[in-house]
Amino acid sequence: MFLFALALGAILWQAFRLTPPEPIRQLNAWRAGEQLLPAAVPSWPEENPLLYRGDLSERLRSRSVLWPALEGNGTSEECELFIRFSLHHWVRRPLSRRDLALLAGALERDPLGDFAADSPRLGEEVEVRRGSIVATDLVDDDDGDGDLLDAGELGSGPLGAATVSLCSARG
Amino acid sequence: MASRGRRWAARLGPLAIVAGCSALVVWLALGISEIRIRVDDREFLPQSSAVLAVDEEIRQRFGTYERIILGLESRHRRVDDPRFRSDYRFFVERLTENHNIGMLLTDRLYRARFDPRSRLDAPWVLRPPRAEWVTAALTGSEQVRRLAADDTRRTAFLEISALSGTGVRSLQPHIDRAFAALEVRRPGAYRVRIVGRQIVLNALGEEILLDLRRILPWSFLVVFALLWLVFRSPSLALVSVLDVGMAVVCTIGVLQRLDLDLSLMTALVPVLVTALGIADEIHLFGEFFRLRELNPRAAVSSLAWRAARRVFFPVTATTLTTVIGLGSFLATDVPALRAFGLLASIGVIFSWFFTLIFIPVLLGGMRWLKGPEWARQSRSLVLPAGWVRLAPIALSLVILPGILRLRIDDGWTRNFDPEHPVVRQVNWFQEESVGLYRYDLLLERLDGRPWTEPELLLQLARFGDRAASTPRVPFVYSLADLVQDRAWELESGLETAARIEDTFPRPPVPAGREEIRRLLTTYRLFNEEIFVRLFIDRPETTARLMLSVTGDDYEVAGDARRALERLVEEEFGESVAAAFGGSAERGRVLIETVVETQGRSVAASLLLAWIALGVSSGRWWQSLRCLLAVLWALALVLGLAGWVGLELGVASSCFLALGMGVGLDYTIHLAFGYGSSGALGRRVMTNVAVVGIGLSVLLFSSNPTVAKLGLLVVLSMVASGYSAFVFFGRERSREATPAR
Repeated sequence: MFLFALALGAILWQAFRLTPPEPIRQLNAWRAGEQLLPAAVPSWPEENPLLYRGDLSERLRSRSVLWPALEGNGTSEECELFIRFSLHHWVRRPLSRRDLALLAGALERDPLGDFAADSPRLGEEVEVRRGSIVATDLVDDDDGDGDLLDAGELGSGPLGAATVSLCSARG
Repeated sequence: MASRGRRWAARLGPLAIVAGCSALVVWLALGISEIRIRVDDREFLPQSSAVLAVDEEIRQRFGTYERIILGLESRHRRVDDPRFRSDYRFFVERLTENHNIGMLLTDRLYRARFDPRSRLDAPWVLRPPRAEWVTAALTGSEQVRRLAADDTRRTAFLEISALSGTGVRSLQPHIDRAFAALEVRRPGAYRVRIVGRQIVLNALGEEILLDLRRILPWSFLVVFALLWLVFRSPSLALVSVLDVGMAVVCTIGVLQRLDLDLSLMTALVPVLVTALGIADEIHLFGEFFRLRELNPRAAVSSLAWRAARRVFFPVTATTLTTVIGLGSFLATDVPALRAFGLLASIGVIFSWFFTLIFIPVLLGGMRWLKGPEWARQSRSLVLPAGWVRLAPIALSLVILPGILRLRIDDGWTRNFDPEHPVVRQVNWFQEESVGLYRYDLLLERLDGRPWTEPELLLQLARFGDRAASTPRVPFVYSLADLVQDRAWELESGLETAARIEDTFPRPPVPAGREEIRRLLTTYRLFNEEIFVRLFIDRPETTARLMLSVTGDDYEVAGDARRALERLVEEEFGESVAAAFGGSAERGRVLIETVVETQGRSVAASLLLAWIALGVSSGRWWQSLRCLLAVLWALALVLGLAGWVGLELGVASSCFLALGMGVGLDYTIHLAFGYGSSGALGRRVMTNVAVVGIGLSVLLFSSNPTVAKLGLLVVLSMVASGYSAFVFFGRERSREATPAR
């Protein structure tokens, strides 16, 4: 009977030590700014990010992935270049005015452009410029420096992927 | 006054027992409706196993990748047919009306691709692919060729992230609604196929519950019929069913109170408790009727308690050895087996408790009971000399060599009827695409060089090609494929003016590191970073390869693993450290571990049972003989399994510990029980028959693995019963035992 009681005690002891495995956690290997959901460009209808109301910069940021090989968010830079890759998403590249100028060449100033109605405060704080990049320029590396965006590729014509650059007006 | 008090106590005692037992049953029964069902392969793995550590490392470094595959299959059209595309889009649009599904869905076939043409109305570069591009991609891009559509090119696949069984289950109504809308648009033109590891596990959970609902009532019915037949009394049979029913309810109630789930293993417990529970009752009833025959004028209630006292030692000893057998699962590191061992032990203890406490109260009130002829007479049941002298030698010589032919094999889909829809879907996916189960192979460079170096990437591509040419591995995808596929996509995208031919070949691995980096960079730009992160870590010194295998069973996974190990050694030598994870590896380790664990559990429980029996009886040699008898019986069953080709798997190998726990009962009764060996022999035979038939309801389980387990348990009981007679059947009668 003693052995039986011992077995009973052992079972009771084990009963409260038994726990099933924890559910698998969702872990992502990508970091902030590297991936939007849904992953890849969907084949189903979606909203056009620019049709949202509110601050243009926020609207674009919310639908942008960060340009590769940029550590941090580049928030210290005075300009941001947004390149439209799909109906679904843009790519954001923080950069200095000088770098923007290098990319743009003769980029014309377009103070409010089409976005003025959506962003009444923009004119006061942000310089907005619109442009474009030829599609093939977005996937080649002419100078072989590892950066797919090369000097002079940012144009002002209507052909190619749309771009929006936002620079602090006080900069 | 004192005698009046004793009379009141005598009257109130039974009432208190009935009230107490009823309250316990009701309290535990209250939570049963909240019980959850869960099937998770990780529960069958030792928590310290390498594969779990590798899987966790993969999750940490490459992210969680659990998917279900949703296939839209056209009955007549190819996936690159314009009408298929239109209907596919319609279906996906209906499906993504649910925002969450839209966020979790990946479309490998028709998602937007690089299109260098300028369009004023669409000023961006990723657009829905042209029809001819899709046709070309079905041969040129490995990802599209193998993962976006089936081999007949009539099914397009979508992938949905799937983390939990509940999450996957919640997708079904949305899929049904979207498909119903498509059916209205094109009646009978399509079918939807849903395939995934989580789908299999969910379906298994549902089958477990259905099986339990079907089998448990049958086991009660069988127990009732058998006891009626044995004791010629429906009321006694009813009492037995009540007893085991209470034990089952309490056991399931404890499962819920401990916050455990009903799983593949714990679902076996109710039937086991039902069958094992009646073994004790047969001894109690037999003794009760024997005493009644000897003392016809004695009060029935006092005879019932006397019978309970007289069978107390053997019944407690057999319960103890059964608990030791089942409790040996607790010594493992496998949660599913631990839960099973714990719960089955608890069930057996409940049954013991109700048999010795509750049943005598009921027996005491059943004055009309008359025992069967066999219980009133101590007719001897002794096997002929030939059966216990020559037959064992012959059986040993013929059957035991079968052990050498035993094979270990199992797989999740073997838990279903081969015609089950889930099995058919899994088999279809295996035939027409890359299959459901895979290895994740981690290759970590020990020299610190990044895999993005052209030479190393080429080596990776070569390894992938060689691995994909082995018989068990139909598909391999690695960083090298990712780079080559992107090169193909960009180059084919540039072929805007010319028509893309089907033969447009996939470029080789680039020769320059800048080119590799350029191609990988485009994944981020195209919002496809997740694809890269699945195959290479940040320092780029560890690459992950996904390798499909041709089945989820142990043999396939084992063969594939050995072939891959050999290839890793040949291709990379000492330059990399390889680690295996993924569902195929989990399955392989799971089966191997569970079967090995059984051996250790049985050895440990034999030792414990010997100590327990030796200490409690003081007869160590007799106790050792009991164990030898059971060992011989189990060896016979293993030999038989080897000869008839029954493989040992996760559930089926559990028969060893069960057989040990239950089989030992028979030898204990014959070696240490009260009464003549003839009467004891008859009771043991009755016990073997009733419990064996009771457990044989498992043979009718819709789960082939459970049915196989049932067969092995029944065989081990028959063998143990016979073995008990061989070792103890011809010994002299004993009227007392020197139990301490």
